[in-house]
Amino acid sequence: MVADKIAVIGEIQEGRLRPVTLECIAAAEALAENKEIIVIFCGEKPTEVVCEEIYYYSAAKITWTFLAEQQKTLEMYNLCIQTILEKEKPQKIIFGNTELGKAVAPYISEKLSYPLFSSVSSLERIDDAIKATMPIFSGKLQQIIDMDLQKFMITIKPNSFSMPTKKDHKKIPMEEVKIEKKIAVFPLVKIEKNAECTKELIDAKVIVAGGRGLQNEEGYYLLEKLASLVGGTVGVSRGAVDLGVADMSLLIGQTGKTVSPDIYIACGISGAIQHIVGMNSAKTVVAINNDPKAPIFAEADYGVVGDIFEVLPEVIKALESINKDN
Amino acid sequence: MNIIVLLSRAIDSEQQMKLKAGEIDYADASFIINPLDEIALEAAICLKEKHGGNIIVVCAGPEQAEKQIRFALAMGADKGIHLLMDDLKENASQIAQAIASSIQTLPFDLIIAGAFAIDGGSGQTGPRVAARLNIPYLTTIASIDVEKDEAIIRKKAGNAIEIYRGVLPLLITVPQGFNAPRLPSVAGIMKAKKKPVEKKQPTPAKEQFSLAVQYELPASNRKNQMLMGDGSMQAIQLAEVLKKLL
Repeated sequence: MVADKIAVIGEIQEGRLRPVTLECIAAAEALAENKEIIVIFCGEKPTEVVCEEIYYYSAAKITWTFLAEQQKTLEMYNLCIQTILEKEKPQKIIFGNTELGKAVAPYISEKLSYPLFSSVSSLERIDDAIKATMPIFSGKLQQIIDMDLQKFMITIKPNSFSMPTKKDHKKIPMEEVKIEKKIAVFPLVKIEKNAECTKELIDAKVIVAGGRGLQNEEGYYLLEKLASLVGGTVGVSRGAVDLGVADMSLLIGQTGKTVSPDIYIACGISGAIQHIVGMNSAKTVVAINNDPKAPIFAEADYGVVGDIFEVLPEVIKALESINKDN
Repeated sequence: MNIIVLLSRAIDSEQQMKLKAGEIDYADASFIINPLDEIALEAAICLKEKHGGNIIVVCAGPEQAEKQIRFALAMGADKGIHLLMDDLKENASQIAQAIASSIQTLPFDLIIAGAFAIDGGSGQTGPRVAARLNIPYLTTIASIDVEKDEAIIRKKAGNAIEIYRGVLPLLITVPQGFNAPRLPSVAGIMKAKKKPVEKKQPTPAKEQFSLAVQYELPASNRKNQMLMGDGSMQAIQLAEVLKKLL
């Protein structure tokens, strides 16, 4: 039987493989028994560190193309990824549902006519039949599709797939593809770096979030204190933005960011659906709210009914003392 | 400036989604204008106020979608194009094709779309329409300035701001927080009734494939473990839970 060729569009961040790329490889492994997986990188040559990670899994080759800093634009990513995919002609294409994936996948789907299924959270294969599950209507429903198609493209919802099983370490060939870069119609003319280094919410493994229950800057300060003790990033729900204690850029929810941390600590957040849909793929949810009927508790693994101005300082004290003991 | 705004309907987020025999029951579904498309329209109106010109809103949807189009006209769009078709989120490609076909004969400098639909969430329409029309596009931008036939776009990228500059036409998508859309005035609502809405019946796309789909309510597999005791007891337990998880 002819092997299915599966292309994974990989992403590198600060010299390391983004975890979602490993999830894409796990998805590729789930897609077919007999397969050939190629991992494609656009922008920089994958470092030894990146390659070493990939060598533990079932990829057949790594393909990459170079882009100068000024060329790392959507226009160029589209051109390069399209060129490589036209050359490789895979049956299946997998992107992470990241900023890159969201912007590029629909374009490629339209240009190369691969039906696109977005934000897949799990794949099940029985013999040759594949079922893909994805959240729809902001996660209120799940859709399970029989992927009875030769050719298709999926984007993987980050933090949904388990890491692929490590196999024997096997070095695989790396191929550089040289692509003639046309002049961009809409070139990147300048990059202004910010002095401030804010950790991205969407990549954060631990998030400490606050809502209307924060009441004021003092409440927000408690969030920051807790975040610093647990190595977390601060996020907010609509309630906190409306209070004026935080900016939209920290908003988690339907009209803000969708996050998928390992731990999500919701402080003074009621749990309106618009917020829940932004964080319910967190592995563990902890909620603190003084209303025992707050909807957030239904979405939490651990709940504390209490006033955050009483509970948080105590939790902070307890964590500080556990830290001292260690 | 000739600006086209892509408009879509979204199911009101307060809605409980209902399933009937494994299929979605849209019977009582209440639709609103996708909030990010309102933001797109507001961006268009601001540019029109500054540079003059014309705004056309294009909306793919069934008959009832006219309501959302009239709302857009009341906000300040000049004309609507209503593509009579199903606006199911599964048909992203068909919708984009219909939109692109209806736009390609029109003069336009800029196409603005919301970054994603609050009920579908995958933000495909903008990129697909740009792909069809062969024009460049930039997603989730932070700001746009127009100088003659060029646009200057700022976009956040991690800790930096990227600045793009190029010749129009361009398609952009705008995120939440880009602006605060105005409410239509009473005068606007009255004027909207007389503004033209062109209805088109797009050629139904050849049925490419039809896949078996099932719908389910997501399983809530949360522990729902309440930590009991007085304030300090709960706090200590919580600290221990956190320490174990970290």
